[in-house]
Amino acid sequence: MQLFEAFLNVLAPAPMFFIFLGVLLGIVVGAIPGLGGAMLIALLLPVTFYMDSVLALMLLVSIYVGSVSGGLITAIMLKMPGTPSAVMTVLDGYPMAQQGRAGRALSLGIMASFVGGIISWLFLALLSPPLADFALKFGPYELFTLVLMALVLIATIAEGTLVKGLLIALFGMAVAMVGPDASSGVMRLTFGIDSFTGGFSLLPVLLGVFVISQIIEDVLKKEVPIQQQGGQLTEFMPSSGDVKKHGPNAVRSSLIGTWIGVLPGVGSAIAAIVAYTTTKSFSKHPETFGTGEEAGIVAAEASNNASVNGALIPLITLGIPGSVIDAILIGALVIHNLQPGPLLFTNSPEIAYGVIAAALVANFMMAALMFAGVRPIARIATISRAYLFPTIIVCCVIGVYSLSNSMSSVWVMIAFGVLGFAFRRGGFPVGPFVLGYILAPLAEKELRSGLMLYDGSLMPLVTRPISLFFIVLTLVLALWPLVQARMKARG
Amino acid sequence: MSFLTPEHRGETLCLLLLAATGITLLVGAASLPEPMFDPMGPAGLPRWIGWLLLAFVALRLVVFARDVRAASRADKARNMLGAGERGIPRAEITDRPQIARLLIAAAITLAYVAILAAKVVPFVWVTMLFITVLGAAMIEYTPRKLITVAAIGVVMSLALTYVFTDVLSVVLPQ
Repeated sequence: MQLFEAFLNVLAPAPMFFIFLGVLLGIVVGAIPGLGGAMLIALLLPVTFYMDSVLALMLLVSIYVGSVSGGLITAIMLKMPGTPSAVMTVLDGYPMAQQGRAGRALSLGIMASFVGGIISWLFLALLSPPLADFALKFGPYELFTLVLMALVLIATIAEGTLVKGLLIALFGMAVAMVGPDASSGVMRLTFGIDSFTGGFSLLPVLLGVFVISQIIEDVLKKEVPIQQQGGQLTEFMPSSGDVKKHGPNAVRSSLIGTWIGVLPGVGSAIAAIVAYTTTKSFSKHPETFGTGEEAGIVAAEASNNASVNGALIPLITLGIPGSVIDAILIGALVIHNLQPGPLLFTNSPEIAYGVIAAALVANFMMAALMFAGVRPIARIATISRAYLFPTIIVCCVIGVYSLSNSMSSVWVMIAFGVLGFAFRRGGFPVGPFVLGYILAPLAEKELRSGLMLYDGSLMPLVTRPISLFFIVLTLVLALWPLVQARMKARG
Repeated sequence: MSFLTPEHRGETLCLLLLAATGITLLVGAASLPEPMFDPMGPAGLPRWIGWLLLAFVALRLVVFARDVRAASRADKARNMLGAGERGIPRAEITDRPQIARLLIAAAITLAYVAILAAKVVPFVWVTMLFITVLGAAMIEYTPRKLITVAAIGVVMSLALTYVFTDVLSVVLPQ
């Protein structure tokens, strides 16, 4: 019933406008390599601060949906995945474009993205409310072990090694420790520096690590002229035969994408890789993959889009981010004084159900906009960085300044930009940093509440079944790469 | 040390930074008061994170040293093939013009923020100048591109000032 009401609200002009705007912006930044949804959402956080919370969240979720989809256009037409999630789409999409079948590749990609979005949305809509109800039964130790699992999982999956992932997540947690202790009010790690007394705010840290560091990285790269493939877009509209031919693959890949999206910190790029590999192993002609195989595009695109709604499930039910963008969305909830987690359904149902409804509408808009705007979007993706980056930097400066009315936040943003760049150059993934930074206060709060509740005993961590389950899962996740390496070494 | 790739050097720097963070956390935690309301107190988690950082840095250093040794052996083998094969693969080196461009861009950006912080020039003017100068520093000069960059500077500074001050009622630094 509440979902139905949310749909009625979403279909009003203002939400429809913001969903349209979000999807459009998302598709455009998703198509431009080096930008991406995380960057745009972080960049727009200060703007959304002045908006109604429901509309703000709808805008951000729509950007998320659009950004994961937009990458396929440039992956197919320009051989450059706009986002990491489109990396598998290049393998078969670009060869199809070279064969003069760009229209067919785009059409399959867009339809698969749409199917992935719809199937995963069903899970989002059906699972989220009961899961949030169930999560309300979680005590502090259950939540603490859940956060622990999320941190270990993202460190395991992130680029680079497990140790690098854990190190950078711990660094994120360390940054979150600066400022007043939430329980006692004691100033921590400020070392007498006045500008540290409020701690490092979310926005300068996010914009520094995601936007400024990415700009530094991109300025260092040589800009190469881009060749567009495709010619006339023939076979652009899908046919009824495609349902029979690609339906099972699309459904299977959507299920894979949804499941991988649910896992904290894994993200859409891994979803695309797993679905692509699975489809290839199921195929009677695996040798055709990488040469322009339609099934490859369907698998990659259905799964990466499905992972978006999958990742929203732990976000709105448990307050645990399923991906880096979800971590930024948690930041958006915090900026709007909303409590991420199961209480969102109880305290702010209009937000929880609004997000769910917006995710579905955004999927329809994504398909329509992608079919309508392939050519102009591909052209926008070739705009020189010299025209984009200065304006992006100005937006970052205004955004950070506007929330604190202080230029010291701008310096903090620049400092984190340099740090983020240094970590990228050192082969450290920045995703775990953000998760560590956002989840550390939650982990600390739950752990300390648990200790108070159980008279300082840590035993309930292993005697309570749910927290024990999360601990076992965490250990398995942490040890699995080592086991895998040993198995590989033994041949 | 020509066998050290830029990533090796970058990782060394990051590990040093992480170790320093670990030590800072331990030093900072030592000066915090004893637990008052809960058994862990305000120093508990910073201390754990500090020790974990140091432990993982040590672990990573062991693996890192092994990688560097392997790279050194490979470098020696390449030396035997000929001087032209030595060192970092060409693709991994960032060209000097790119580094120079980054340094110029960084200097322009820092100057922009410093001027805004000093509040001596109105936001719209300094932003117009910043977008134009930074854009010009990043393009390969042609009159047409310069005009485009200048036009973007004018349009974006006016548009951003209007949107943030008049539409969103944000106080801009000026």
